Amino acid sequence: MPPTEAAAACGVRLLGVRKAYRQGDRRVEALRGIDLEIQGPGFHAIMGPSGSGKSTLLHLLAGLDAADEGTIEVGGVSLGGLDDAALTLHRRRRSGVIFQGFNLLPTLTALENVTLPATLDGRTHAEAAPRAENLLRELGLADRMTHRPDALSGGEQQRVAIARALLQEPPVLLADEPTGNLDSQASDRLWRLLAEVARTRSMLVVMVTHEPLAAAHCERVHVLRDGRVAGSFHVDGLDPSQLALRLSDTLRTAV
Amino acid sequence: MAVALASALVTAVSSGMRTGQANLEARLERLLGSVDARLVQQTGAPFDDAILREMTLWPGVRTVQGRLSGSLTLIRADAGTDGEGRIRRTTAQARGVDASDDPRLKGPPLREGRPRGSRMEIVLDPLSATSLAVGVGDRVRVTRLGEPVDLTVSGISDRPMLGALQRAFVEVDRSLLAELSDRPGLLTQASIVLEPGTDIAGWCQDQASRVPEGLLLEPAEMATSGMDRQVGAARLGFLLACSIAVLAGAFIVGVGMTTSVSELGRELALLRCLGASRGQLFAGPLLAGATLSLSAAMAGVPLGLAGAAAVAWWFRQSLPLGLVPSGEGIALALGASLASGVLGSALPAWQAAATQPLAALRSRSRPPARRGPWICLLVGAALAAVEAIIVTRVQDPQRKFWMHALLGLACAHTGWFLLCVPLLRVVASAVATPTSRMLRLPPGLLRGSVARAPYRLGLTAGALMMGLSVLVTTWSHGEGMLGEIRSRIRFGDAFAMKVSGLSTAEQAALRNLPGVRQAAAVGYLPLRVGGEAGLGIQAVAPPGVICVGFEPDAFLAMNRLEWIQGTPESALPLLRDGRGALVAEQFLTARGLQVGDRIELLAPRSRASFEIVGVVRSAGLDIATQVFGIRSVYMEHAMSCVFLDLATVGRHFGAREAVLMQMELAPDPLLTDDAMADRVATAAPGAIFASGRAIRAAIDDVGRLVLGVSGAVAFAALLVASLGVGSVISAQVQGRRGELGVLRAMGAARAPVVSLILAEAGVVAITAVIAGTGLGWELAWAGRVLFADLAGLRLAAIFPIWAWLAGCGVHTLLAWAAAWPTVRGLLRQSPRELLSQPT
Ligand SMILES: Nc1ncnc2c1ncn2[C@@H]1O[C@H](COP(=O)(O)OP(=O)(O)OP(=O)(O)O)[C@@H](O)[C@H]1O
Ligand SMILES: [Mg+2]
Repeated sequence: MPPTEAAAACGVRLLGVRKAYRQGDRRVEALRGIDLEIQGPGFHAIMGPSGSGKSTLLHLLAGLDAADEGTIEVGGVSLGGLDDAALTLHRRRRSGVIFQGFNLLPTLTALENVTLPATLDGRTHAEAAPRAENLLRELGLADRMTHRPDALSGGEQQRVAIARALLQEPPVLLADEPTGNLDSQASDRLWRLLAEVARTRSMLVVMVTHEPLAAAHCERVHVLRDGRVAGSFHVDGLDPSQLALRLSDTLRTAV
Repeated sequence: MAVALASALVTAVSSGMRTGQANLEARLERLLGSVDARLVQQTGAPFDDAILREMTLWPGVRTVQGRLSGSLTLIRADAGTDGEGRIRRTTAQARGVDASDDPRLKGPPLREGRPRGSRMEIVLDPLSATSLAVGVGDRVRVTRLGEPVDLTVSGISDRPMLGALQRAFVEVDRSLLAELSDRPGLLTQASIVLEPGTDIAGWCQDQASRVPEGLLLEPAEMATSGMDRQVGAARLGFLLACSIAVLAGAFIVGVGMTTSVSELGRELALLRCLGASRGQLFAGPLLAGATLSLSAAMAGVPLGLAGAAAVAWWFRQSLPLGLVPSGEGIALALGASLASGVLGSALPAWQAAATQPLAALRSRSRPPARRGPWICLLVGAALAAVEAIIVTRVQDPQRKFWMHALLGLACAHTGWFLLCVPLLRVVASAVATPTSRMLRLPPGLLRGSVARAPYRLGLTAGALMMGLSVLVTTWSHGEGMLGEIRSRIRFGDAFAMKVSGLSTAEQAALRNLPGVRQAAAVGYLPLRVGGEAGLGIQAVAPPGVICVGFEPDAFLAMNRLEWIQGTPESALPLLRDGRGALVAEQFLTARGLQVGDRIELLAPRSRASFEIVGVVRSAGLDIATQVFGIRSVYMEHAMSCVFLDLATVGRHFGAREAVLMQMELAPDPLLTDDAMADRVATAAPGAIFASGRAIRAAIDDVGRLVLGVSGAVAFAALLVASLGVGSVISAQVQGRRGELGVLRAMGAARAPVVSLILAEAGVVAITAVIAGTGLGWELAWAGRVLFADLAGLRLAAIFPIWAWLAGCGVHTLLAWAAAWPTVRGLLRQSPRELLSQPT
């Protein structure tokens, strides 16, 4: 498959994307013109200092918020001209998200949480359940399916969230500091899992992270600074400390 | 907010009910007179007023007032003439009364002017004022044999105008009337006001031995028509409505305070981490609760008064006294708000102070104990049963009333309040599957969110329930009373009356008038009682009686007879074939007779004996004859009446004339009272027509007043309760924003998310509807038992289906309306914004 076509199928592309938040009468420019193309499949990291706009970028890709300016394409579909209903469909079918805070619905069981996007899509729980059970089994949660979130550990909750994000087989999986609430062992396991998902399912996984340890599992790191792309580099077997050096180099040279 | 509305509720209900009650009493008094009993001479002749002083010493007597009736011929003092040059003159029925301080003997309600102040003043009625063309402040002259006397018109009474049968009626001082009619020191009637709560008929019987020979002590119309029971019930109803409103207010405030303080929970926990002592934590919310609720109550009271005033304004036509604010109600509103504010904040404050600091910070939502709802179910059902036990098991009515008011009501409210918790779960499970299928959301979502906050939501439903229960209770009682009043006032649509008697030919002509469906003739014939009963076992019973001849079947079709003894089934055949007689209640007691005994009736030239087959009372006819003034002419003493079949009277005593025909008219809009009066005049020259429909409308109006005021008050209560709970619901919606964010992020469209929240508010509303109906029906039942025990008023168990449906609709809509602003606010936000708060 030629790379451009693959990118169209499961890549993302941003052109001149701007986003500002209004806080009272103050305007905070979170993104000030992002040009970024990530071709899938693969496992990519987005890094940058706190407040550089990483989460904002991810939210725009997930269709959780709308950009002020510029064009965004996910899996070959532009989010720019979409109305509310179409954006809802995008969230439902064309992107999977996982959050630092897991964001499982506390009143539903693990299995029900996973089948939620299918239910929203008009299928019954029963129809969606076999696939959801398979996913949970693959993620090592075979005996946790009927538990509610508050009976699961953080790592388990995050894996349930991943299963939920994968259920609809979206072209991209977006993760915002997915290990922020996990201990180092669980974190390491999760990074490996995400890398494996990208490889075996040939999809694009984009992870926002602060940790060089996490980025070391990725193929490529894209660096944000002050709402702009400061640069990007291949990981290619860099160890975490080398990676941290590359990161600070990129940030410095971008001034 | 909730507090302000709750105290508004209490004020509005108490003032509204007070207004309704006071006005009902005033209306009935105006229609039926305000005295409880009277002493009259059997023959209607005047008697010596020395007895007045003696009577004030009888037990149970509050006030005695001497009255003298007579007639006065009045002309204008300026000898004013009408358009054709004739001197304006009127001969009016005059009542001379002693001045009295008793509020119930203050004289007739006035349309204009003021009550009589001096001996030389007179109160006219609209009829006499019109025919003399005089107004307040003018002078009228009493013409008589001696020197004419000039009187000043101090006021004009507000007497209902009821057609041709009415005579002009004026009121003057008794001593003046005595002097003008040359009957000094005499009276025709002693009007008696008894201590409140006295059983009037029983009292009359007990005092019978003190009554000098020839005089008769009898209950007045208010009692004989049973309307005194309406008044008693209205007073009771007022007390009960106030207690219910106070309780409802307390629960609404309690729930409101609990939410606002539990939002403070995390803050309090943080303070605990920073070293605040338990005492400090506890005192803070308590103080805040007290000040908040008190200041809110201050705002709520005027709001409630305004609401009650609006209701009073709406019904101004039927409310002669206007708004009567209830002092007790306002004090109760303030007190209850303060108490429930403090109590409502005590629980969460205590919780916050009792938990471990870290646990409080960490724990977000521990799943509640499974046993909780079961405990609520058991305790709630037990408490609701306590009320039922009080109502059914306590024997002494007074004791029952107070136990009900002080303990039973509180138990029933708390019980149903707690029952809302398990009920909510049941409703949620029942509603979850269909709604979820419709909204394409997992059923667990709705059921789960309810399961997670069973107390918060359950108790919110509990607070919301109060409004509907007030509605069901008051409306059920109101309709019951209206039905009662209606059934009491069954009598013909039209009356034709001729003092000299309607001949059989005239009777037939009236019967055959177009538009007359059915007619019943009534004749009056003075007879004497013969035999042993005539001598009287008790010497007070005079031998003279009024024999009332009537046509049993036609009469019963138009009137309601209350059977004190005997049944229509056994009595009617004997009446029809002329063997039986019905008698009034006092007749039996006065003569020591019973149903089954025989009486002999004597006319100058004939005699016949009859079996007593029943003892009856006809409230409707009592009212009608009283209002038309027929009573004073023909049946001054209802208890001396014997009722016989009219044909039997003719056969035995030769009297076939009727003095009165009652007619039932076809429902025809063209058949107005005026048209009917013309037809009567043609069919029976000299007969006077009087409209039964007019008097029925006047009394019906009183009934509608009861229903209207109680209904309006109940709906106001419902609105206020729903609004008060609204803030709680919207706080709950606000708390769910994170979850909604997740749903949106997973690709849920707006519509199902909105529907989910509305369904949740709907579950609360449905729970409230079920519980409110249950509580309301239990209280309505308890109220009926109390009315029967204490006021002797048996109300039908009416479920106010339409009002209830409207109430349910308003309920659910308001729950949704309360959630709506928050929902809309949440919808405007992008999923990212929703998610920026932790779930
Ligand atoms: N809801 C908001 N309202 C106002 N300003 C916001 C909002 N969210 C983010 N910002 C601002 O936008 C800028 C970018 O925020 P963003 O959350 O994208 O940064 P980030 O790179 O994810 O930071 P971190 O690494 O700390 O998560 C910051 O300056 C932040 O203060
Ligand atoms: Mg971030």
